[in-house]
Amino acid sequence: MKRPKPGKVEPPSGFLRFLDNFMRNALPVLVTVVLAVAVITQDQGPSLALPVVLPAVFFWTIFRPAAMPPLAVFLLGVVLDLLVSPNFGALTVCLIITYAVVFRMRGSLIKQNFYVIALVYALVALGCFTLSWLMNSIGYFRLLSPRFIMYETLVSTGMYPILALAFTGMHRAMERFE
Amino acid sequence: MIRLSIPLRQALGRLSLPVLIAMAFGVMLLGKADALLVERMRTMVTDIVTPIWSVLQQPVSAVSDAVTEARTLWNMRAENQRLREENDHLRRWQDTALALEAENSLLRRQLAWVPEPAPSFFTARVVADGGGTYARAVLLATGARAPVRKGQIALDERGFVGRVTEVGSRSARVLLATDINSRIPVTFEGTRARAIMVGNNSARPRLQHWPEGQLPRDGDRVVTSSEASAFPAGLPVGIVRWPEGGVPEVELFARLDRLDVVRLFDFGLQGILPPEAVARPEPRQGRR
Repeated sequence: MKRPKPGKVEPPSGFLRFLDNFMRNALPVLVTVVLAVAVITQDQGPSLALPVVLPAVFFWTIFRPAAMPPLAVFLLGVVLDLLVSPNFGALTVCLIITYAVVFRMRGSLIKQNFYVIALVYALVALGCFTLSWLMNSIGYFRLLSPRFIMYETLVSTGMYPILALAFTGMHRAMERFE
Repeated sequence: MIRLSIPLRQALGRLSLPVLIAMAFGVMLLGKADALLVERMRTMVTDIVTPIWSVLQQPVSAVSDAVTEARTLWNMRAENQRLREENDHLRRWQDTALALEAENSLLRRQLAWVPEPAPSFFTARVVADGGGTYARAVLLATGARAPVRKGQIALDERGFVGRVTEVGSRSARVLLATDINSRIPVTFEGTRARAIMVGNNSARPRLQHWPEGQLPRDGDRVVTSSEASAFPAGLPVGIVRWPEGGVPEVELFARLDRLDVVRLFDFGLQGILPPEAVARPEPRQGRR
């Protein structure tokens, strides 16, 4: 007797399938939240929460926008604001505006190679942290030292390749299960 | 689930981003308009996250302890030499201190001096960096029944750290002396002149408003002043430093970049507190 060829396992149907898809799509946001909470634990010098969250938002917006919807970015911003920002709302505004900009560029960015994307990231990060600096200066009614922009941009840009590598692995693994 | 027609769904999708951007600005305005609500939400979220931070903090401190240990072993010889010299130096100071203590107690006996009661304190662990890039604050994990209240003063083993500004059921936020919003009345120990120590988010807060003609001198010890009854007098703060061509700064005794545990003192003072605390005065706990 001829054995049937092994094929793919039939995906579960109904609620389980919904749960499976939902969890897979929620994974990037969950990982970003865990990353942010873990980074806040270190208590030395300026907080790295935004410089770490920004690469995650940037990466997933380009490569898997379904897993980083605008509402998730908004909520992420609110949670970060509650945890670290003395100027409530500033991080939310920065994140959602950066998201909007990256989402617009998405079509042309997705075709580029890694180096071009990293370069664009550096520019986006510079814009985002300049905005954050501006919002905080307005919030405090005084001009804050602009060296924070440089610091955050450098740290965040330096972290982008490492995080992008990890996220690429995650992205591929997620694709395999789809 | 409600099924929407495709054009409607596309229209909603296009609309969601502008709406969220507007909402983000709304959130910011809300933060400005109702500081109390935001503070309550902040405390709630912090209370939820603090147990997670406490767990996360353990491996972090284990690693940093191991690194410190390794460095100590590496530097043992040089450290030993340095300690020997310091020990000789301190021995001389000990003699002076003992002599002064004897003289002090003799004078107190003659003056019928009433000693001040020792303030109550408890120790709490720092679990997270509670400030962003533009603020300096730390979050403490406090027990559910710890007697924490706003305005309590935080000290590490060396000196003044900051004040408690927010209190949750399991956590508390301490605004550090280096924060841009921090204003501490201080006294120079040498001249007894008063000044205000103003945080600027860098490691060394600046000095302002000293009396005319009594310029702070480099190396002068800075202690807290009881002005406005927000602080008791005489808590060690730091040393005056004059950077080249700049304004006088205070090099803090406390090591704010590596706070591990802090002691929270209740001096029972009801001086200047953040505005929201004034609107909601809290009774002192555990005291008559």
